[in-house]
Amino acid sequence: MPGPLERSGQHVPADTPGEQGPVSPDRAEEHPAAAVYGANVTTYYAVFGALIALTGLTVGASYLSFGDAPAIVHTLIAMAIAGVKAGLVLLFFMHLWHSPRLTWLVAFGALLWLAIMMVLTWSDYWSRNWIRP
Amino acid sequence: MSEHAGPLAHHFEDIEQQKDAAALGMWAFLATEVLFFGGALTAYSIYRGLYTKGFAVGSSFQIVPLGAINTAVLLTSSLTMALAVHAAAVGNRAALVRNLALTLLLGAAFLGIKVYEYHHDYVEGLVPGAWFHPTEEVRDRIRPFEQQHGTVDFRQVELYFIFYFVLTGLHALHMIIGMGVLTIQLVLVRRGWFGPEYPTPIELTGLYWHFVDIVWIFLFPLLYLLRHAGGGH
Repeated sequence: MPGPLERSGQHVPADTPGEQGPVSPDRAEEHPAAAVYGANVTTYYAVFGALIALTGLTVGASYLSFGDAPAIVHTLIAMAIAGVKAGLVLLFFMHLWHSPRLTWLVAFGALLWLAIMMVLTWSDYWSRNWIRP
Repeated sequence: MSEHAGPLAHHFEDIEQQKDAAALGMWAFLATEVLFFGGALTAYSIYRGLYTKGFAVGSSFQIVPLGAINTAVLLTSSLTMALAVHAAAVGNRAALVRNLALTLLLGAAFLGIKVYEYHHDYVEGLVPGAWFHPTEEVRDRIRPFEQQHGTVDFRQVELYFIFYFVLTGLHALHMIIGMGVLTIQLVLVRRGWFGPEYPTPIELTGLYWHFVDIVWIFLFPLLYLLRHAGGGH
């Protein structure tokens, strides 16, 4: 009987390579570079190249001067680049792109709770001096 | 399917369900890890906002090339880990052993550079607590910064270094645990475990290793690159 974790059609569109799952041992020997977990070796090297390039970009951006702009401009640029890098690792190295939707739910649930913790803490400190007794 | 044959545990319908359940368990653990590091990062963000000058000066004491090299080392170890998972899934044992060993080696290289950086901070008197006595040479280095932004309170710099050592220390602890798991799996793979019929244990180690990589992807800019205290003063 289909369990809650079964792959029967409710996760990824059927035309994505991930739906086929890991290749069988026989097929693997015929095609050593075949896609498993929806990714092949070429994907990994491309993602790695992008990660190294983005590391160079974030180091380079830290040497830029924005004149009188507040320090948070540098923080936002650095965090945006780090977010893209983390996304690449999540989607391709950690195979989230081709994972069941339940895995997406857990991954984004964690980010939602993190956002609640950070945003409510920041809003507290930000608004603390608004009302003086 | 009452017989207990192969890697399929009896309480799962089939091997696909078992693999998904195992991966889901690892993701649930990683969700708790996100909030574990997230708590420390939230505190860090509050203090960076309150003590922008001290934290900018603290970041300026880091050796950016070493941090960048370590980032590249860790990203490369994530690549070899992904290749190891791939090799396990397609049943290429030689490639699996090679990539697991490379991942271990790159992890060790990362920790080696980290030890050098910790020692460098110790020599400059930047380890917080009883050891926090920044040398004159270190204080001279920030004179241009102080001319532009005003005097720097070194208690703020010490707080930056508390965050630096706690965050990078917890990250290094996670790497040491990951390297322990990798060592055990390397031995087991050489004994013939984790074939293409059930590569999931390697895949789960990969998830953990990549997560530790993601933590560093955020720590590197936050601790090394934010040397700016903003315009004017």
